[in-house]
Amino acid sequence: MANNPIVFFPLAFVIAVAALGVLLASNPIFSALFLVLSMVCLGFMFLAMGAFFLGGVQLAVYAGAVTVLFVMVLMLFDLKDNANPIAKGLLSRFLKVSSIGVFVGLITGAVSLTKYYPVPVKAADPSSMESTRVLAVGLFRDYVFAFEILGVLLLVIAIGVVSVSRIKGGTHDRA
Amino acid sequence: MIELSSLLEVSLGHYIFLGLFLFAVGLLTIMLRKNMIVMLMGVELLLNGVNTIFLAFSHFSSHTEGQILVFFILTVAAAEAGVGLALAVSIYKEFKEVNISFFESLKG
Amino acid sequence: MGSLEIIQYLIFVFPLLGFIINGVNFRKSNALVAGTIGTSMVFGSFICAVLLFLKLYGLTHESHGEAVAISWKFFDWIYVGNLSVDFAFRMDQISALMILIITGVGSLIHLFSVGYMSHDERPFKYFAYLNLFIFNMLLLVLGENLLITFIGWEGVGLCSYLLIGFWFSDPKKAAAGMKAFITNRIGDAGFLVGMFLLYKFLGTLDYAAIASFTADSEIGANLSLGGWTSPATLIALALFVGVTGKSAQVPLYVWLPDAMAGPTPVSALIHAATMVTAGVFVLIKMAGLLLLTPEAMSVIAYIGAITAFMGAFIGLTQWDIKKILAYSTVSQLGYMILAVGVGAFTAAFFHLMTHAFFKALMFLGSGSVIHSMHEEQDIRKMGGLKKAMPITHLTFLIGWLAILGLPPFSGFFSKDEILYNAFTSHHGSTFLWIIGFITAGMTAFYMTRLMALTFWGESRVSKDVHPHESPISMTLPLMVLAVLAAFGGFLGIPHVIGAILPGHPGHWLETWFHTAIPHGEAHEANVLVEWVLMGVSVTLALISAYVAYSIYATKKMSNKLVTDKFPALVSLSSEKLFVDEIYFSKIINPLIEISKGLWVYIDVELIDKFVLKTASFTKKTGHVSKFFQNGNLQNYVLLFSLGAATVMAVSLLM
Repeated sequence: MANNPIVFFPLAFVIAVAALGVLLASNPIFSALFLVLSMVCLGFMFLAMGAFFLGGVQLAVYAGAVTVLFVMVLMLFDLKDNANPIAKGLLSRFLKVSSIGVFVGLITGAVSLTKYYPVPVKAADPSSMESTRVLAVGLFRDYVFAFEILGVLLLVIAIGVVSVSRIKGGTHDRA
Repeated sequence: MIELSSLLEVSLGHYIFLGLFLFAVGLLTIMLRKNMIVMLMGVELLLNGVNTIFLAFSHFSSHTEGQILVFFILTVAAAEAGVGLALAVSIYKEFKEVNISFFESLKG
Repeated sequence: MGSLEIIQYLIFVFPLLGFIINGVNFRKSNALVAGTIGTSMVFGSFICAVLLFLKLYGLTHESHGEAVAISWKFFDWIYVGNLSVDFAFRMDQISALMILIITGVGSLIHLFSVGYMSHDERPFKYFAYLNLFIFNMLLLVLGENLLITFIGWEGVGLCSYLLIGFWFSDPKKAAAGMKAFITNRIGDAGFLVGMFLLYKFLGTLDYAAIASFTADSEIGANLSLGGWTSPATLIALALFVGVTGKSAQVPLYVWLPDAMAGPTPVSALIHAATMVTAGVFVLIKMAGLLLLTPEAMSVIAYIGAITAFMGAFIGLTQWDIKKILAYSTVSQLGYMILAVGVGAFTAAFFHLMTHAFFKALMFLGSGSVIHSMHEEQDIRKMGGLKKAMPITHLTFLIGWLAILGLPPFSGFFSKDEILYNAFTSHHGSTFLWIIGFITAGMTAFYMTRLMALTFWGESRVSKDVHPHESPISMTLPLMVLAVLAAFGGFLGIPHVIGAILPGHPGHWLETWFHTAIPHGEAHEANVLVEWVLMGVSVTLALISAYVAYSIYATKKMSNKLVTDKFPALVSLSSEKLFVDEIYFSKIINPLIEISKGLWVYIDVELIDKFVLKTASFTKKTGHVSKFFQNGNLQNYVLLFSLGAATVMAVSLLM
């Protein structure tokens, strides 16, 4: 299904436009909404590519949790609508855009000129459960060490976030 | 030269271009927007772009390592978004300002 | 021999020790302690000198005509390429007499200084410098090679600067010290060139080696090839430049009259007896070389004669007692150089010795006068001091008789020997004799003038000054020197006189130097010429003295005849022939203008601008580089992406 242009092109188009919307919207809430759109469509794209588990995780974590966090934090701040959201300076803007342009152009050129593409090892399009199983086997058997470290990392991050954003006073303060 | 008919045939190159586009937009968002929160959104876009490329490679070469890596990136990115937002909240509480042009104390 | 070695070390150690002991206490002001230390150290050196002399005397008697000397070495010094120079000493007959003069007269002057400097603020510094001077002078005369001599040469130049500018808080006195040092340095450049040439042509700097090379007929002939550009001439003239600086000849004599700014005993020691004679000493040591080059010898002789004449001419009209003696020194040094130039090396040394005696005597005498007149130096304010200062007067009188050249005092023997050699030697000429003759007349005139205005006649002393005789510490050296000035001449009785005296005493000095100084071609001794010359000189001296006496003492004659008819001559004389002014306008001021020009055009314009441009370039680079660290996060991300793009471009496109 991934190779189907009918699936790919509309989704890709929406993702691209939404990403540009994140960049160009003046109201940050609009930027957040565009981000949600982009994430959701990207999740569908992952599903289309056959990475069902990851597509689900993308939809749940990114579109669900992260974006909600962003919107929540934006609500916390009382932001005025900014007139010129983009950084000032013609030269620096030009430099920035052009450096990215050069970057993209180079890689596109490199990719389009390449003659070698990776050859698929087995037949495409396995069943849905097959890909998740393979993923699980990889995670829990082959790369279990990295998986456990990841868990520790998440724990540390959670503790860190809580300690960074503690406030003195308030209703439950002990000191 | 690249012909239009071959352009319609979706292959690895298309996905790479898509991921590259997301990466570029994310980088531009970081460089061009002055609001700190929107910059963090740009970071998310960046990581998503990288995720698509990894998944594209994984799909077209049928190696699962790409998906595993995406798994990790996804998790860590979400956590890092949380940390970044917590820091942004602290900064807002301290300085009452999220416009990064106020935070140029290293300016010589 | 153990005791001899100790003496060879001690002769140097004593003055050096005196310098160190007095030097570390230089702020104290007890003149008696400082003077005792200084004098006893130099006297110790004198004892060593006497012992060494006696040893050499014995050796000379045993050797029966061969060259003999005492030599000793401290350590190997320079061994570079072909040049080998040891830190070694060689006392031949010339050096033996020199060290006696230096340490003997030096001790007397130290003794005199105790009284003279009794009221000074820093006597310790003074005696330290004096001892250092004696040390350097001993290095100079005892050195085995020209390099050791040069060390001493520079050292005595330094000490004379320190001592002339002793009261440096007066800027004129400090300037006098600097003038001495700088003029000496100009001469030293010539001396160094001479040493370089000597090494180039002979490959050695040892006196003994040079003497044997120049005596060898083949090498000697090679050295004198080419007349005015022969190696020997070049070396001799280069060394002579150094001698003109040190021994105050034309054109570098200008420091000596100014050097009277220092304390009077310093003038006595340095500028009468020892330092200025160093140049003559070196020339005598290089006699073998000089005899190979008649051209250089004629230059030397003429410069000596001109200097003698000029010194006497200027001395005729000076009013400062020390300046008169200074110009007299310049003149007598001219005589010594003239003697060297005509090949009469023994006569030159003889006059050196007698001059040391009578000039030091007169300088110390003038010091005694100045001290008792409370630092008054103008002879127009003196007069009739004969009654107030009898001992000083009597000793000064003996010095006066000696410099006049009246027999039997020492000056007669030495000066007449020089004049005789100037007349008869192959290198001499009648013209040189005439100049020497006229100078002798002028010498008699101005010295008698000095005596008349200072000691005889009526007193012009101002009312508040009460001159009195000086203490014994100052008059004792005067008396000793007077004895030497009176009887020192008997060391060199010429043959013609010795022939008629009972016992036929000979020319002891000539015998003593027989092996040390090479002789030129012997000229036949014309007895009649010698008697005539002697008689003529003595007569001229007596006539000049009488004229001066009548003008200044008894006022029977007047000098208005001369001053009215030739006012230009008088002003030429009293303005020192305008030499200093000429030097300033022709040499020094142009140099200053050139330096100023260099400063403005090259230093300020080019170099400073260049440095400032470099600095501003650095600042501009800094301005540009400020872009990279302005605290703007987005800027940093831009730089990341630029870097990434560049790297990618490079790796993909190359």
